Amino acid sequence: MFETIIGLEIHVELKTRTKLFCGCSTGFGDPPNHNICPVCAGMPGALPALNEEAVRLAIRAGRALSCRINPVSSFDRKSYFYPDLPKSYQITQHQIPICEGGYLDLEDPDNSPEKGLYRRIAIERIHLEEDAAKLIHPEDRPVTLVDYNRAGIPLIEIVTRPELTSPEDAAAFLKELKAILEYLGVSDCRMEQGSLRCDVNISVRKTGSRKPGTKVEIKNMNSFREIQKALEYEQERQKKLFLSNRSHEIISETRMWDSRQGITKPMRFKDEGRHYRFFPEPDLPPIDLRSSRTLSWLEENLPELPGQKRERFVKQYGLSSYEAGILTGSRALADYFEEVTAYGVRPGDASNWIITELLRLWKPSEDRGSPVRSRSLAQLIRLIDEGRISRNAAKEVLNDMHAAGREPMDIIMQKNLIQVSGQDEIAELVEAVMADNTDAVQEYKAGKSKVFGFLMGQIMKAGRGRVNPNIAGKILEERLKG
Amino acid sequence: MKSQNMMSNNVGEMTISELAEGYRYRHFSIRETVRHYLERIAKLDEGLGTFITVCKETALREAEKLDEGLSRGGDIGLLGGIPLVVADNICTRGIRTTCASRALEDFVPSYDAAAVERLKAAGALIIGKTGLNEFAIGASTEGTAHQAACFFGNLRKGSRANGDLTCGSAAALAAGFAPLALSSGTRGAVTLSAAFYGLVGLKPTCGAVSRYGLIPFTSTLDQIGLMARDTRDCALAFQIIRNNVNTSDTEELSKGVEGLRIGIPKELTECIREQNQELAAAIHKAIRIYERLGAEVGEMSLPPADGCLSAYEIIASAEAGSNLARYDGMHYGYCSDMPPDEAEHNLNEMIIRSRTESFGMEVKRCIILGTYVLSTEHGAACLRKAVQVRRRVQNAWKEAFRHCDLMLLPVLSDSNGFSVTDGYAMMMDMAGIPAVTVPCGFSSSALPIGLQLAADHYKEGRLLRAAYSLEQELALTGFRPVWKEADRFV
Repeated sequence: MFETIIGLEIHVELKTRTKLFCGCSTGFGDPPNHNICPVCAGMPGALPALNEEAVRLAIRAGRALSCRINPVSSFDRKSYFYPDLPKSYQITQHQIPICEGGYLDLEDPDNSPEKGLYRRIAIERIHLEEDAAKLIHPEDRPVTLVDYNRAGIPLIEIVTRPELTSPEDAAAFLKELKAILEYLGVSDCRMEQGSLRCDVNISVRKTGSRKPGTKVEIKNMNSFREIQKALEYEQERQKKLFLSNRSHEIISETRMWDSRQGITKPMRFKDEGRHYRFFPEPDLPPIDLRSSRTLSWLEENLPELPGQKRERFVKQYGLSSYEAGILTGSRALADYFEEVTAYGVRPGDASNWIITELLRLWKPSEDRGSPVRSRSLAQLIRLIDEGRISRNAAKEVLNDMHAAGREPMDIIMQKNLIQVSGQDEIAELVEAVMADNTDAVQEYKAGKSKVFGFLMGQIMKAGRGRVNPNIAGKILEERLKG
Repeated sequence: MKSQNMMSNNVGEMTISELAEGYRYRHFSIRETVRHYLERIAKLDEGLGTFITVCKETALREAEKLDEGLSRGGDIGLLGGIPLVVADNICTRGIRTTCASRALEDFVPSYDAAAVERLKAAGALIIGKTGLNEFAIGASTEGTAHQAACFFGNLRKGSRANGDLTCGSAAALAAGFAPLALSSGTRGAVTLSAAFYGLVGLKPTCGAVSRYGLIPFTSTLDQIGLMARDTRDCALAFQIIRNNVNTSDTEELSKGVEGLRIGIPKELTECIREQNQELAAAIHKAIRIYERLGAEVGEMSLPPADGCLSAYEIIASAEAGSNLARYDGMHYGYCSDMPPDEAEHNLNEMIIRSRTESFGMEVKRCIILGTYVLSTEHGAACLRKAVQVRRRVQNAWKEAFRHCDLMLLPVLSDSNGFSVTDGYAMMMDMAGIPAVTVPCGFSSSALPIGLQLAADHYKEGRLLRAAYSLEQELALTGFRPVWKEADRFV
């Protein structure tokens, strides 16, 4: 048997308006080399000036992850030559990072949170640094293009201790971390836009072995799913090498994930042995959080975090931990759920409709609100509750609400979907169906109770789906007995 | 109106105050003044090589604009129409800024250094960019890409000064090419070379003037400084470029030195007394003047710090190695002429070639030492030690300024090689304290002798006041010999 040890290094772009050391915009998708100035382009003589908002956000992340916030932290230069690095060094925090020693609690999939069983993953450090430029390799030309818009965008790097024991755990950790950072407004964590990037370290060893396994780094994954797949592949690869007595072939290296082939490959250009020549940044004073002005950053109120919200949803709304888990997956979704219940909808109904129906139409995120307003969904659910439309009709209405952005009542009126609930009206229908199906009525009276379902179907058909089935059932039963 | 001829004879000698008065009373126009300076440069600088770039067209255009402003009765600023020379490691928007290096031979910044921006806003016009050691590193331009910069030792007929004798800004002022210079001062480059050429030089407190746009050599030891013909000019320009604008230094100048405690480091004066009697005599005279003006002068102990020179070299080279890493040929500046496909496939080779071809020997030596310091165990230990030495130096000066308000130091300007005053200049850089040099006499061979005053952080006002008092008493201001010597040189 084997045991796997995984550690993560996560780079997260902070949601500031301007870059870490200059006033350039951090906007995504602007034309290449549009948001640059002498500072972020590394021109001679330009000097950095720290963006305090980035410090504030890093502190928020650190506090939410139960880190110790260092009262004084400092910047260092990390030197290497590469076209994406305009100064030939990156300003980062090496010696004294802003946050150290935190943790994140992962729900154990085998144990419900009601039992209070979590796995605690330690976080070694969080530090501030500037992003590098983006290199673009066009396929049609043998050149490399450099876009400096990204150079100087503030990042935090979150480094975990090697305490994750499976690829699923790693994915679960990232999902939870992403939710927390989104809740805090620290980052929008979009892997597809590169605002969250993750390098992983994995080592496998025989269970009980004292010797630590050989650490392999994997890069180039663009989604949590890919990260999990890359780790699964790498785990299997290393196990197979052990089983075929080729464990010596596992070497400490950096491998690239090839998503097309679904495998990890050794990097063509090795960057091991690179000496970064770390050096205290002489152009920036240390970040000193002991002044009265910065002290308030350490005491800022944090929003309710996903874990806390999950627990509250279970307690307050009586939801299952599964439901609570989904609904707290993003702050926008959790807020939406609470809005719907605030309009008087039973939490169970709101949860059901959101999870099974609405989430088909909406992928929640900070700046993509629900296409169906919470008040409209609440109205729709109330209409079902009041028996004015059927459940099936309601699904159709919801689709139309999403597509056309209209109110439920408009659609119901236009499509004439109002449920028929009047006793007399339904009785008339029941009697008509019974008259048309005398054979079936006789069979029922002879004790063949199965026929009841057939008759109900005929009634619904006659009412073109708008008949309230509860009322119709009751009347049919009365008439058959009478 | 004074005759044109008279002005053309005097222009090289004039101070900012004199020029400003001439403009105000329309004795001469800004344009004709600038033209006289440009003519002088054209005539003399070929032999001196103080300039890397002369900004003829832009300076004349600016002058014309200012003349128009003046004729409309507008305010042209405290330095309206004053020609300014800027060392070529200080960025000037739209004007080539080379650092006297091939690495930046065609570099035209899109931005002004903060101090340049302030001086321009006050009406100063840049007349040219002056030479320096490549990236201000080292003590001589020999073997650097810009050999031209080494000629201005000629101003003093081949005599070697300590410190940075190749400070083109000081030479340009001495040659009468402008009345004001903005320069970077590392290892006494401002104060020592000002003394060397009989000028007033101010190296402000580390942090008092923004370093933005000063192309860094050492970061923590670099500092933007000023040179002018007299203390009043220096104070005026400092008032414009410094960060803190609460007090007015020019008004304070005449407040005198009564009650100030002036300390003399006995280790340095003892050494001078043995080496240079003329200098010792000039210093002694200055001391007597200060005493007469009511200052309290006393000897105190401030020994040169152990290991100061090594610590300085280690810190400076570590910072320089890192600061100069950006000249990789990829972004701007010199790029080795390599076939494109070769460069594409061998990026490292391209970087290596670009750097090898563009840096001079002294710069390479500094980068290699810096890389050693930052990439080896032993180097790191050296750097830690150097930082300790710096802290010790800082503490020593802090302690000294508990017992005195000012420190008076001689500037040894005629020795060969490294001198004891170099050591004190380095200590002052490390301590980050301000210093001013003021001429205090002439040697028997009619070369200027300067003395240096140092004070605690942000006490530039006090420094300038003391320099001004001495300058008034000595009344040397009318006697400016160096530029005449330059005339003779042609």
